[in-house]
Amino acid sequence: MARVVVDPITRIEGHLRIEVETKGGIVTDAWSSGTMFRGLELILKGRDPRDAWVFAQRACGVCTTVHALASVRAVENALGLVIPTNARLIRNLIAGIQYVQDHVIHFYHLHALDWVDVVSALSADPARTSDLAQSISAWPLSSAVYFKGVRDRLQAFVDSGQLGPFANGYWGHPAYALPPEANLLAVAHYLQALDWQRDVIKIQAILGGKNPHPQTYVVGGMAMGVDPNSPTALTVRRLSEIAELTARARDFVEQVYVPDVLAVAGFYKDWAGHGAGIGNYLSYGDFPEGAPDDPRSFYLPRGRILGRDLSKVLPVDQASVAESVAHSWYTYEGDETALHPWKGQTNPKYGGPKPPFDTLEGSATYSWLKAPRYEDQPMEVGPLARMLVAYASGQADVKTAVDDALGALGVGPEALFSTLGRVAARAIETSLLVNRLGVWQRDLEANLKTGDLAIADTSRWDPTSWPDHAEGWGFEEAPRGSLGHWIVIDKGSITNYQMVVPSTWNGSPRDAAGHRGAWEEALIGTPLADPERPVEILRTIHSFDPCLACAVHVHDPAGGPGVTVSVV
Amino acid sequence: MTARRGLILGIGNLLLQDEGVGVHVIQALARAAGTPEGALPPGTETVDGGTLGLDLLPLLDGVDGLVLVDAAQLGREPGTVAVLRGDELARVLGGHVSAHQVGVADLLGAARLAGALPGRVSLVAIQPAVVAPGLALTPEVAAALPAAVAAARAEAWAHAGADAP
Repeated sequence: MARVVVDPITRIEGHLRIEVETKGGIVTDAWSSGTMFRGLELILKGRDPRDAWVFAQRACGVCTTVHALASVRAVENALGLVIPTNARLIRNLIAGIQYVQDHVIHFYHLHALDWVDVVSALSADPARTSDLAQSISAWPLSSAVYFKGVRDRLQAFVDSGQLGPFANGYWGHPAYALPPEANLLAVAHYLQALDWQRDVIKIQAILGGKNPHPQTYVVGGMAMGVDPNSPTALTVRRLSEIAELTARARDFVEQVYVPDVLAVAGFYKDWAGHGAGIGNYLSYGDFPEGAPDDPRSFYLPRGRILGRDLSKVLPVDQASVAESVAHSWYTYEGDETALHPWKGQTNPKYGGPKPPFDTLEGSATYSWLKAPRYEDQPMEVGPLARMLVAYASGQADVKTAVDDALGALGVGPEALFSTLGRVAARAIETSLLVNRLGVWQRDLEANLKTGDLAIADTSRWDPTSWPDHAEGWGFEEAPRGSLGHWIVIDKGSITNYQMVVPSTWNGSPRDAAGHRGAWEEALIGTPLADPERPVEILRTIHSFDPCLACAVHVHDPAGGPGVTVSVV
Repeated sequence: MTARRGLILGIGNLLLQDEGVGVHVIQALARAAGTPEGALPPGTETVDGGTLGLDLLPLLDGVDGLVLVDAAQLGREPGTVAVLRGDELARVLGGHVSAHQVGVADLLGAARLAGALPGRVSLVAIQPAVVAPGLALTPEVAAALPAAVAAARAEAWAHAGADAP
C-alpha cells in the first residue's frame, strides 16, 4: 500500500487536502480534508437578519452572489415574504450569468490543464489545428495564421521559463491523450476565455452594482430602481447592454466551449468509466419562472436520485438534511453526531496531528468540513446532479441537450455517471442557461412595460412586525451545487445560522456510519500511471469544481532555489 | 501616440497582518500623492489589488511600467525591503518566493502569454514577520513601510524615465 497526498498551494479560496491509498497503481481508499476553519456562522450570531446576506456573501469571492441569494431567501422564508416578479427575474439574471462565467472559467482555467498538455501544443501544425477548429465550430478565430501566432507566443512563453499558471502542470504525463493540434486549440481558447469572461460578467455589475459581491440584494426583493423615467434606474439602454453581453456570452459558449468539451471528451472516453462515486444525486432546483417559492415553477427542477436509478425522482425536504461531525473537527453538545441545521452547532475542536504533518493517517477526525447527509445518505451535488434530476424529471430542454451530447459522443446515459459526465453536464447546463438568460431578460422588459415597477416586498421590513421566534431556510443552486442557509431568529436577532455549502456535500469526510463523501468515493478505482504525478486524482476532484483550491503540494527544499536580491 | 501609463499595484490580504503590507503601501502612496514629496509620475495609477489574482489582468492593459508591491519570503529579517527587476524577478517567481506566489506568478505569466506584459516590471518585496489573522502590521513591518513606499515611488519614476522630484 502506498499513500499519495495531494495538498494545497494556494490559500485564496481555502484549503483542500486529499490523501489516497493505492495498490498496484489503483486508488483503493481516499480521505478528503478541508484544512481551513470557516466559522462564518459564529460571526452571524446576534446580528440583524436583514444584514446577514452582506456577511454571508463573503464566504467566497469566487462563488460570489450565491451566498447572498441563499441568505435573503432564508430570511424571506422565515418572515413569509414573496418577492415581486421584477426581483425574481433580476435575481435569475444575476445568478444565471454567474453560472455561465463560472462554468467557462472552470473548464478553461481550472480544469482544462488536467486534460490538455500545454507543452505538446508546441509541436502542433497550425494548418492542421485550423482544419480541426473549422471541423468542430464556425467560430471565426480559426485561421492557420492565428494558430501560428498563438503557438509562437506559447513558445516564447515557455522559453522564458516563467510558466505562471502552467508552472505546476504534469507536462508529458502518459495520461495525456490529445494530439498536439487539439492541445494548441485548447490553449488558444484558454486565452480567449480570459478576455471573454471579464466582459460577460459586466451583467452582474450592471444589475448588482459591482462584481464580485453584488450589492443590490435586500430581504424581500432587490434594492434598485426600475422606473424607466429615472436616469439611475434599470433603463432601456442598460437592458439592451445586457442583451448584447448575453449574445456575446452565448456565441462563445455555443461556438467554443461546448465544441471544445465534446472534442476533448472524444479523446478521453475511458473517463466515462472512472470517477462515478456514490451515485446519489441531489438538486434543490432553481431559477423560478412563476411563483418564486414553488419548485414546480423552477427551470431546473428540484429532486433526488438514489443509486443511479433514473426511473425515479424522489422529493426533497429541507427537514431531511443533517450534518454529522463524527469524523470532523467539531463537537456537538451531548452525544449527537448529526444535527439538522436549525439545531446546528459550530464548536471547533481540532483533533488532527500537530501541523505541519505528513499525513492524516490514523486520525479518526480529519476535516474542517462537516458531513451533510440526506436521510443519512451522502449525496453528490453540482451540474451533473442538476442535469440528471432534470433529465429524469423529463425537463424537455435538458432531455434534448443531454441526448444530443450523448449522441455526439456515441455513448449511452450510463456514461453520465463519471468524471467525464460531470464535465459534459457542466457544458450542457451552460448552454441551456446562456439561452435562458435571453428569455428572462425579455420577460423582465415585458413585465416593466406593463407598468409593474414593484421590486421588493418591504411590508415586513420593520422588525416589530416579526414574530418573536422564526425559523427559515433558503435553497440556492450555486454553480458548484446545492447551497442551503438555515436561520433562526429570536426577537429580531439571529440566534443560529448554518450554511451547508456544495463543497461540503461533495468534499465531506466520512459520517458516523462510515459512508464516504462524494469525492472520497469517486476516487476509488482511479488508475494512477505515475503516483508521483497524480493527474488522474486532479481530473476527478476538479470535475466537481471544488470551491476549495486543490493542487499538488510541492515541497520546496529548505531555502528553495537560490535567489539573489538587492536589499534596499 | 498614447500617453505613457504607469501602475503601482499592491497585493495582499489586509486580514492577515503583514500579508497585507502591499495594500498598506498603496494606502500610504495614495495619502501622500497630493504632497510635493509624494508626487507620482503623470499617468501613474495606484490600485489596491487585494487577493483578486487573475482578475487583475485587465488592469495591465495598456500599462507600460508596472510596480508590484507584495509581501515575500525573502529569507531575511522581517521588514527587509527588496526591489526585484528583470531576471531577478523571473528567478523569484520561478522559485515561488512571494507570499502570493500563485497570484503574482499567474498574473505575470498570463499577461506574458496574452501578450499584455508591461515593458517594465518591478516587484517591491517586503519580508513579513507574521501572516495570521489580524488587522495591524507587526512593528517590524510597520517600521519598513516608509522604505517600501519610497521604493515603490522611485520605481514608478524610474519606469517613467525620470528621477523622483
